Amino acid sequence: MTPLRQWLGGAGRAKALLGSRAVTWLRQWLGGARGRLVVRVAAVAVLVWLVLLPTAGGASDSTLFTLTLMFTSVAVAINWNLTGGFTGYVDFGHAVWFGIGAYTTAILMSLQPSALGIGWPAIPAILLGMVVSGALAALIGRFTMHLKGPYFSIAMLGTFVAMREIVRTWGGLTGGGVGLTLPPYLNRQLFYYLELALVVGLIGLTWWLRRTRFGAALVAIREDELGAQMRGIATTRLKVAVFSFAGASTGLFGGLWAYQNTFVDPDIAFIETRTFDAAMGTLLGGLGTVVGPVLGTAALYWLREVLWANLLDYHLVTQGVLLILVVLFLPRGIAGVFDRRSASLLRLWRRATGESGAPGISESSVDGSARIPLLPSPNGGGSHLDRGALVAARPRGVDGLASGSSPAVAGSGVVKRFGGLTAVDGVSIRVYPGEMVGLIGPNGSGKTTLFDCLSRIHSLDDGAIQLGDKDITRLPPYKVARLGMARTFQVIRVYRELTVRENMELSIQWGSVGALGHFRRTDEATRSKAQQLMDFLMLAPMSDALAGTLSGGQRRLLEIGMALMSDPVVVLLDEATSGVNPTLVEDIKDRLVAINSQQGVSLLMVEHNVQFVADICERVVVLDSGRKLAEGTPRQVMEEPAVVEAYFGAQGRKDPPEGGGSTTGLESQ
Amino acid sequence: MRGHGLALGVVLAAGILLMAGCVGNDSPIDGGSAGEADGGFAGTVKLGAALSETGKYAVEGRDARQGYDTWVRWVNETYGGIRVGNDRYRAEIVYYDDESDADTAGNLTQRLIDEDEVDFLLGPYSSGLTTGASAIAEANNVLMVEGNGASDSLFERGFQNLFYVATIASDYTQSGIEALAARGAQTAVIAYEDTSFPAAVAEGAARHLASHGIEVLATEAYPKDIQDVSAIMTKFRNLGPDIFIGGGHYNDAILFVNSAKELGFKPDGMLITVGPSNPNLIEELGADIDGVLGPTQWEATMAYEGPYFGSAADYAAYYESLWGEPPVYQAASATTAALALHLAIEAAGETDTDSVRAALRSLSAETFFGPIRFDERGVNTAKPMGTVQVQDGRIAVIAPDAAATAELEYPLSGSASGPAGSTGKLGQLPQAMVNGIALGGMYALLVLGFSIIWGVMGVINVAHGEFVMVGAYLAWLGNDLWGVDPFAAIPAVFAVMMVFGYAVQKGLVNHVIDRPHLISLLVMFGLSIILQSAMKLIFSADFRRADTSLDGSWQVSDSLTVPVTRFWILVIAIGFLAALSLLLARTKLGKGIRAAAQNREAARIVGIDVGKVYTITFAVCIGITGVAGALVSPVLSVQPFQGPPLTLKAFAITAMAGLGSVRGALGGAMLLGLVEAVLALYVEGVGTNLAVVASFVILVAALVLRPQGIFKGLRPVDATAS
Repeated sequence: MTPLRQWLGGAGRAKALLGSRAVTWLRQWLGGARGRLVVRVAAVAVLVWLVLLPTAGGASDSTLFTLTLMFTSVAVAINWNLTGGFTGYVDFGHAVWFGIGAYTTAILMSLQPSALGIGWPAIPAILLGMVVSGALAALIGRFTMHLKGPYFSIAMLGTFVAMREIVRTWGGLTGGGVGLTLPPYLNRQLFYYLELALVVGLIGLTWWLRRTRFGAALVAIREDELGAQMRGIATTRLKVAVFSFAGASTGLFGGLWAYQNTFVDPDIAFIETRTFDAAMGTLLGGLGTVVGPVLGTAALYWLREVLWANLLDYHLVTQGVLLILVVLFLPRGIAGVFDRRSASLLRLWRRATGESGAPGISESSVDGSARIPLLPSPNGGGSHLDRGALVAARPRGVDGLASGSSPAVAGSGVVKRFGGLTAVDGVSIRVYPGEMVGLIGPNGSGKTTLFDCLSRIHSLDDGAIQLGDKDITRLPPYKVARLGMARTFQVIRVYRELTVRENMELSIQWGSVGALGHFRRTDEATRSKAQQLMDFLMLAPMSDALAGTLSGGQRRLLEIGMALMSDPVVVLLDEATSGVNPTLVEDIKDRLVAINSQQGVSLLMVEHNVQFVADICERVVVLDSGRKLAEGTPRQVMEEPAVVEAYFGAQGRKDPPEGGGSTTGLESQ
Repeated sequence: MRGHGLALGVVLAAGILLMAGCVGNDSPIDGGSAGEADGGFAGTVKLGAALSETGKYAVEGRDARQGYDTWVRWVNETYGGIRVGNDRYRAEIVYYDDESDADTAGNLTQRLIDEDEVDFLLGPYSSGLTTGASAIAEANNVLMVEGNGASDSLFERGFQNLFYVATIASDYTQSGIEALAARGAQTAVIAYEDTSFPAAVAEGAARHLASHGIEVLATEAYPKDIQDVSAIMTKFRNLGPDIFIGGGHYNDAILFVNSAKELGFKPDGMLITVGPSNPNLIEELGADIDGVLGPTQWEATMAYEGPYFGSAADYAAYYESLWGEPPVYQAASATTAALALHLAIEAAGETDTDSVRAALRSLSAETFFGPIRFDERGVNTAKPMGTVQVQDGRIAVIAPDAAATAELEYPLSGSASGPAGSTGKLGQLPQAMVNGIALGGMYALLVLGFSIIWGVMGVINVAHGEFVMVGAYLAWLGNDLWGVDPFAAIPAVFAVMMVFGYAVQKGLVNHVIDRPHLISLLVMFGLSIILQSAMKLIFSADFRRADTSLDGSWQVSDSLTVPVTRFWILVIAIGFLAALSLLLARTKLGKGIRAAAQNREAARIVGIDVGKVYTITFAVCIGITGVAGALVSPVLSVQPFQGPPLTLKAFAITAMAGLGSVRGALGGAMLLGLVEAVLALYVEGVGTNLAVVASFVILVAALVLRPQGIFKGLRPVDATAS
């Protein structure tokens, strides 16, 4: 491995191999108008060929049988990819749904004489098998999908093994280890056409799904589940829904398989290989792509025919070696090679081999002096709070505190403990409509924890939170987001493997989408709004770059843009300027002011850059050790002795931190 | 993920690949076309068979194929071709490799019918593969004659085109039980693997026992890939039956023989379904399998003969002259299947399916394999099943009388019939606890390396079971070649496996440490496939067992024995656990390991050579894992495919106990061992099945209810999705 890596590691060779002109050319050609046309025509030709094969092609039953088995594998891989690829939940027990579908069908069809006569007819039995798998998947998914990463994988593997043994043990119903025999009905052509139609349908469905908001939301869950939740996506509901759909679909193919095989027993209906083949095929083709499972599974079948026919004893060894090579050197699979965005291939390969990442788009490409474009106007009725009324009644500055008008967001007596540590200790904070409020304090004073409480990442130990006139103390984060609270994060949360534009278009106001709206594509209004916001935030030049390639400052801008996409009433900004170069800080400042003044969005910002806060905030709240230390205009607060002491200790008093710009030492780092 | 062009392009490429796949490789495996010289034949009778050249039935599939080819050679060269009317036809068989896979066997059967246009089919190996293949033969109205698919369920489907020349599963134990009943056996217990064929054998055994008035005291099912039968054997020991009937696979034969010895369970007679007729297995188990009975379809010493190959011994001699090894019964029954078809074609005088079917129905022949007469199901009911007994390391036929070459030894010397100690469930609890703790000790040693690697490096080593397997082979090899006791081999195995672990870490694991878990999982999965098939190529798929002098059991009381081997495994497991705990807690290296586990970047910054820490951790863990393999080599069977169930156990224990937690490995292993032992003892019939379910229910429940892990490990467990 090491010599190979060294050989590949010569930068020239690596580039020659992976970014070679031929591949680049092919990639571009495929993306061009002519390439697309040719590919489409060819795809239709393959489909026509497959349709004509049994009749005009004169293919034998055994060819049809092979292809039907392959269609089954393709379908299972597509379903596996829905959870494993798109949603990022790698399921190591997916074959369980195949077994459940097969067994439900077999049990119904081989029922002994009873009220219903002898056995069910095939079609209702297979359909019920599909329903049972889907329902069980929904039920089990409710529990296991709370787990993540390898834990989910293992829990599903456990579910798989347990289910197989339950089927084996429950002999009265399932025939135990001996299994069940079905009435033989072997019409190869019928099954061939049926499964061909189903697979084509399934490919079409995933292709369409990937282009809907639902599909985009699944990818958001994969990229950053917490972030997705904070942007209004009902993650649990969506992932269980897709898991259940995948289970039902695999169950359908399990039922069809049982009928064709005329026999089921626990060890052939519940076989691990089905899961591993699905995972391997998908990975070979391209994880998380629509065509990956199709291409990869077909390639796998072909490879096996070649390897197994010619290598016999060595085929397993070869397969293992091949698997390792693909995983190490083609992490995005075959589809990834031809992906037009795949300058990323080289980048991924570098990441894989531990070289430093490709430089992001340099910050100098951002023209900070450009005129600030106008903001898009918020979609009416987007969020559930009446922004107009709130803004009209907004009080200004500290006076608002006493004016008694209702705040946009209010935390009262918020307490949050971690074990013995009280991170936030009875803090009350209010932000009035249209206000810009700064939240400052030394490291560890509880600022971010308070943010996390307000946006409902943490549950409170005491206190209450109101958004407008709604009590949100116990709402899940996605509902809070849908009510009009958006936020950014100290550790930036963008969907790294999606483009800037996709990031923006995903961050819509999910509350207004509705159940059916999930199944529509991004509409024109969303697209133009995203475009306007990208113009506004100077992100337009890199709108098609992957978010992971942006510089820190650009990612901060992107996060702000994503927050604004949902037409929020309040945005919580967690250190929007940290790690950002000074020129860009000024740009961010200008834009925040514009957002606030043009749209009346209230801003609550955690900042270490005190000057920044002093420049734009009307009111500042100071935290120390989880308690509110002071509150008032920036100037008032800076002169507060307690604040100075908190920041500098007792001797710091002689050097109050004002007028010193952003280099007073109040900054972080 | 944008651009339709990409999507469609890939569909296109898939289509091309697919066409290449379908068109490219239809060539059958060359073979069976003996008698090349066209010795004036009027034509060819073309037969076809899907047989396993690869996969789990590779050995038996090869035997069956040699059996079929024996007939081809004989009929073309010696017999002068199949006589159809006045013409002589050459025989030819087309073979494909079904890879031991049911889907593939069905597919290839279809291909034989459509593309090779065979006249008749011969059966594949095993009931499972015959089920699907025969359904396709039936649907296409092609006759299939077979000798290696014994399950009763095959013949309950009312098929018209399936014929079986040997004895069906439910009659496997018939002659053995007759012989035992004649010698006065009164009570019996049955244990069987809960899969198609063994279940049918067990069901038949129950029937035959009843018909001879033998009382069945208990019947226990257990799942495939079982690792431990001590709970079942404890139950049986306390019932004190005269005879034990059990089995399903070679693996189980080893487990039963080992466990009976460990627990001091000595019935008057033991009848094990698969194993005692296999010379290889007898060699592995040595004196421990002496006296054990087993069914056999056929032995070369049997007193059958017929006009075609002569006597059984003649057939064996002819077979050996062709293949250089004596025939096993799988080969003989394959030859007989082809022979039955041959005789029916001659009787029919034509190759028309309906005529040959009628001829098969009315066939009555004496052969080297025994008499052949099919009943209406298509089963040969004329030939009784034989029973062998291992007598001084040799296979002796003891039943039926017509074929017997030796007298049944019964009761076995040193047997202790009658209930041992208290038969009450409560009275068995101490033994169940001892079994559970012993099992837990074994699990602890097996899981330790897996847990530490996951905890420290974040790599889920799905090839873990294969490292156990390699260690076990090393111990077996030392045992077999130089007679080294596996316990004495610990230092050597540890050293060799450490070097192996070092190489794997440098060459492979290093490249996947920082990557998403799917990547490392798949890479290690690839490694596990490579190790399995490499070991199969080197050592074959035969089952092995190493011998240790630390065997047998200590008799504490009537109803309590302590298995010696497992006791010492527990001691060594605790030794390793203690040493590792000390290493982690007290040494500088241990601190480095813990630091690297907590936060790799921070560890790097404070000057810890994280790469070195990983290399040492991985090498040491693989060393321990290899030792675990060496120590279980006398207890479990050693074979290339033993790994995956062990990996699964390691997964379960680690995930519920805490990643890289030394205490957790011990606690989780003990918990699992005890749960399995107690469940298997207290649930009638299916307790062992349930124990497997239980371990995974515990796992899933532990993950869902306590995602941070039960024990505090090196790496914080954080299993909740936000």
